[in-house]
Amino acid sequence: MLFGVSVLLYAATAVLPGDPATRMLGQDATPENVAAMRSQLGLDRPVPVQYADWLGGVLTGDLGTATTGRPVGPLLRDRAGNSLILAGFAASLTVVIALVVGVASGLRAGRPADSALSVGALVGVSVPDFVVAGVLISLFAFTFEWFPPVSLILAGGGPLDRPSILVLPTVALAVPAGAWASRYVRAAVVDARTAPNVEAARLAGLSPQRVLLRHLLPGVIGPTAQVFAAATGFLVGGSVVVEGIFSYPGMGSLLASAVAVEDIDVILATGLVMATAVVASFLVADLAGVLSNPRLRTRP
Amino acid sequence: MRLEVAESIEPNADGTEWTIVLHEADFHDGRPLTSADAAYTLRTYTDPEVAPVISGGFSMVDAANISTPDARTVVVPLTIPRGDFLDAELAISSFVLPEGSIGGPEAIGTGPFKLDAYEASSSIRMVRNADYWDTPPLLDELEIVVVNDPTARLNALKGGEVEFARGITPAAARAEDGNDDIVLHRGGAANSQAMGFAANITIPPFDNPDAVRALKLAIDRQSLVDTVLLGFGQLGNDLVGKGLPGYADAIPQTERDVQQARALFERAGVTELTMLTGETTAGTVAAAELLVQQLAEAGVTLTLDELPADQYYSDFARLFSTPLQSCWWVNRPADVHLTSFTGSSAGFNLTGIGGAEYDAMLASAQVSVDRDERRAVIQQLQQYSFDHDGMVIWGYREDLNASVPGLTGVSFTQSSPRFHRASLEA
Repeated sequence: MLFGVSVLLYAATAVLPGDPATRMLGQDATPENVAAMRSQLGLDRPVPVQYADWLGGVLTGDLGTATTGRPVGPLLRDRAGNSLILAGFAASLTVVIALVVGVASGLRAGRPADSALSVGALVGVSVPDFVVAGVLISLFAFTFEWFPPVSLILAGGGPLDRPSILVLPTVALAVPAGAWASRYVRAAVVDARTAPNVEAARLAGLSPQRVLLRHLLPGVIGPTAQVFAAATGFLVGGSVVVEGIFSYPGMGSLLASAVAVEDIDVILATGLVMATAVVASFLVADLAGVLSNPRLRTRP
Repeated sequence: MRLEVAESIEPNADGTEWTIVLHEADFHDGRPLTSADAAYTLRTYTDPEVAPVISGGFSMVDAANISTPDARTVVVPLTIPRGDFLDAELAISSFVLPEGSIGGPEAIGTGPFKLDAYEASSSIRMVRNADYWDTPPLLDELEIVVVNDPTARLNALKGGEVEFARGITPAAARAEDGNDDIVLHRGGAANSQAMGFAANITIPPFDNPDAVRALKLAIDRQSLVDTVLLGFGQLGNDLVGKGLPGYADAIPQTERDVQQARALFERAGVTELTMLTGETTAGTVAAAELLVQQLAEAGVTLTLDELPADQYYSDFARLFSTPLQSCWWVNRPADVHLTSFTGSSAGFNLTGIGGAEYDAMLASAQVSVDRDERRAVIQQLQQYSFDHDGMVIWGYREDLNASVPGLTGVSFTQSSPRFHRASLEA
């Protein structure tokens, strides 16, 4: 699967409009300079040869060289670490938002509170990331001055040196993803409410909390695990926009700036890591789905 | 021209040999700067393998015969006479590399700040070089953070995360007008981009001087500066180099004359034009759209052929065969611009200006080692260009930087901020 992704990625960068050599040289792009730069970048070889060369490098741990002349590997490692921290917080908040909103509205299905939450979730899904981020910045950075409007990390430091820089990007990422996932949680809750085991538990006179925690929620987690995996895809995609807005030095902003200057090796490596993250989260989701459903755990 | 670590840079009588004398200075690791380092640097600059971009400009350096008569003197022979070697080439690239290095994250130099920490494409920390050969800097530390988005840059400044934001948009500058917490630094013409339209005088209809004249008269330069640059710019007079040494200030400003433009367009039989454009720098397309209106008032229908910015420079044949296109230049001194980008042998000549008379003037501007003589030739070149070239420079988009009020002493050179004498009040 990842091999397919790598072929697609490579094909996509190969057909990117414009020529990286010309692009790098700008007004210094005389035909001779362009030819020299193309040969230096290896762009004068056929695309399949370039791909084979690149894939060989990736498999041996060499992710290539950025247009700045530095190896992509170390650059990506720092950025991936930063993104992982942000994504970890964002994914946790996504789950919290989805469960709280989804369960609350699922339990009140058809009532005014459900309608209000549903409309809220719909707004959360529809509003683009950059608008959410803009509203958060203007409110919490400039009006209340609680959190910084940009998430800068100084040389030698890390995102956890100053956790306050993580708050706004985490919320900006988690609101759309959480709102989206909450729709599925709500549907699963509505289904689970009428499941025989839940009905039985309720008829047995168990307290509503106990019914919710012991009988209803376990039935919700299986069907929604896939949804949370897909929400991770949401986060990975959203990070390209949100990291850019907050100038957070993660993989998303790395990818965005690499695309802007057609830094092919960086685009490829970042794309591959992000695709791997999405594939891995689906694997985890499948696993969670199996583990939470007793019927799938036993051999037939 | 202000020299830095070079004490003097002088040509011989015919401009074929340049002698560079260095100050006594140390690299950041304590080792002394010597002529061997400077010779190594120039040899590196001429190597197309190591320096594909810079080497083009240094191709006339006879690298094999660079000599170092003493520890502070480098003698640089050129294969052709170049009286403008300092102004046109060294002024643009002349960072001295320590012998044996090619820069990179562990780079050292002789400058006022030393590299302390570095994260690729993200952040750099510099610390004060107390042993700087000139007056040491005032700031103890300089943190440089990459913020690609101009809005985020301004937010960082307003949120107190940074004290200086390099590059904000005219719209942001206008919006923050009256905000006492932000000081706007306008670059003036000296730190700007020259914004223009290039008519190729070798291609119809602009091979007819009437059509070129009509175009120049039809354009309302002030309105372009006010609308496209929101006033954060300077009026252009079809020449690059305003605000910099050697600019022909004496040439009278071209004023709009719609009646005459209309008459000249009619005489040249021009009723329709197409212009190639693309947002290769902010404001290009907006200017092109305004030109559509301005030419309509002079009786010409202009159609825009807009290319995506990243494709604009991908097809040279198209750029050099199009009659009319948007263009912009880094504002450099007139002689540097004209010798680099005009004349029959220039690689990136968008208007096709050249010919025996012009090329001869250009050559003498490059060769002459006598500054006054060169200055006179450069004035003539600009007059010729003003009279005959199809280049329209309607304005200069000033660099817009912003800082907190407590930051003082930042200076600018060729659009780059310098923090050598900067200081910050708490």
